[in-house]
Amino acid sequence: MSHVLNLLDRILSVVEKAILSVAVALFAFMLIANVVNIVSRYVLGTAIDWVFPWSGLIFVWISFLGFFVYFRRGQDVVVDLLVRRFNAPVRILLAVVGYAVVIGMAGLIFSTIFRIIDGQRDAIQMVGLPRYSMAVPLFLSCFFIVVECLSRIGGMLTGALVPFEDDQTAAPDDPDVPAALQETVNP
Amino acid sequence: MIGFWLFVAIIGLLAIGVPVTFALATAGALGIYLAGFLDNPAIVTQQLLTGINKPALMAIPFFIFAGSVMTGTGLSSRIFSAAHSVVGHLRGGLAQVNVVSSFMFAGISGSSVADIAGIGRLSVTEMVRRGYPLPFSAGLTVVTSILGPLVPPSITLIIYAWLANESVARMFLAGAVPGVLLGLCFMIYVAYVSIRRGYPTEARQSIAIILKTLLTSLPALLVPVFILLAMVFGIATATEAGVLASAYAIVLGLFYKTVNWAMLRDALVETILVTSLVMMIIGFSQVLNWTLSIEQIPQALADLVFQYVQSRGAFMIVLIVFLLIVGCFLDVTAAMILLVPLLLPLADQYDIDRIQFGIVLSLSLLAGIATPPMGIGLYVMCGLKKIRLETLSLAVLPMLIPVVVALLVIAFVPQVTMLLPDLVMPTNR
Repeated sequence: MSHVLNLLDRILSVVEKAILSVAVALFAFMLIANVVNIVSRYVLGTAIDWVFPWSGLIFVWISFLGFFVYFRRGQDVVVDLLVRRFNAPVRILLAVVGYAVVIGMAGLIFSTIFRIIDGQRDAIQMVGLPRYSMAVPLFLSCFFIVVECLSRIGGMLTGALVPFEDDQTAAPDDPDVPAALQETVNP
Repeated sequence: MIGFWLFVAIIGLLAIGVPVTFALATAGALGIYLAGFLDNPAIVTQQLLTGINKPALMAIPFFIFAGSVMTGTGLSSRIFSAAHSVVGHLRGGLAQVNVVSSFMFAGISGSSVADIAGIGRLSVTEMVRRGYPLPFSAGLTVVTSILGPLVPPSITLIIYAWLANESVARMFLAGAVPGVLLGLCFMIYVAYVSIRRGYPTEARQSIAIILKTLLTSLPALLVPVFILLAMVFGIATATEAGVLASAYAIVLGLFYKTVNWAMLRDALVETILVTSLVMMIIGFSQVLNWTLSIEQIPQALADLVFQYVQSRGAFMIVLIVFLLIVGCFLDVTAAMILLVPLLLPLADQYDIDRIQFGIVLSLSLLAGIATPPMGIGLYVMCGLKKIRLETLSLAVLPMLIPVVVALLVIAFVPQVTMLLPDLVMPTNR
């Protein structure tokens, strides 16, 4: 069982890195394109038409791509003040309930994939891609979030993972954790 | 009644440790079910897409990136030195430096967590070394981080401007004077506590040293001015101002010779993760809002409030108390997305300018950064300095007095908020 979970974790780790790399590349492209557009408009007097609509699409894509990554890294905002006061079995029970909620929601969104594709076939103006293409990274993230939750439930049931430990809250001491990761709460 | 059950669902899910985005999503889906739309779950995805596909919010990742790059270029120590040279000689010198450096840093990062993890960490270490108690030092750093999202550039204010259909530039201008006011309130509080407890002062610096330290941090301190000017004079939209700030941050890093690939990569990763988190909260809140609108809950709330609250002043007091409580339990972005559509019609009815209302609403909710159980500032500080949450929460409690005082002044003296926007960017209203 633990062998399967380790393998699954390695696969998810590769997926996480791949998704993050794509999102980073997209944002870097969006930044450079916008800088070039501003320079072009003020220096050459010509705006580059496609920059704004493509930036809008990339903005949606990076939001959805980051969804799986921040979930896997445990960087969503979690209030564990109450839960941490319980003993390990109760914490595991609550964590399983929590992951079941997440699986339910992510699964619900994933299940709407065909309805969204059917209903949003018109093209995005000045981009040309069908409107449903905006949601593709969302479905991708939801799928991997479900797999991640199943993997974590498996980890807890085999005793490899204890949920809501102290070090699972914000850990900005860790130099690998970027500074403003809990930012949502305060943009 | 549906509104009540949705609120119970959110609090219940948060209490058992469900991540905030999924707590909002589940409550939204529950609302859709209770409203009788069970046969069409695609509404959830459609509303999520609607909530995220907002070009007006495209400035967010650029400002996050700019703040992240500028933090990575080692500006914290330069700003701390500048603040130290200017206010270090006052009573409670390092505590005053903590307040002033938070204010200066706010114009760069626009984020309370970046403030705590960046310059806040430095402030607490120096204060404890100088003999200040850890709970006081850590608590002060947490409450002063509220300045981050109030002083421009601010992601909180960008989101409000979008929700209230207001100009981002006017919102940024509106945040400046309240930011200074809140900083002054903190400084008066620190002076009072320092005199009572006998906290030390630092040596007064010569004019030459003050000028030198200010000069080294000047390129960073000019960022908010630079952003505001670009937007106010129509040189750039909010998104373009974010793009320019990002480019400027990289140039600044090259100037300080502190920019490198690893730092840029970290800044890019941070931008993706933070943007995604903010946008998913906005998106899932949109799902919840859809149900609230279908059920006409804003109108029901307005009718209820008008029944009991007759005057504008009473409304402001009720509003502040309500928002301070909500801020304890809900994340600022989520609370804003849920509450602005509910409360804006009320503000209009009481003839409160939407700009002033936005600042009151933002500051009230931002106080939640420093209050349990959702006070993210407390959690970050606990992680940084290994201090107990209960100890820190108790230390922070009296420090919220300056926040309440500033809030009351902002609420009852509209000029504090409206002076700059009306002076620089007057409208015909």
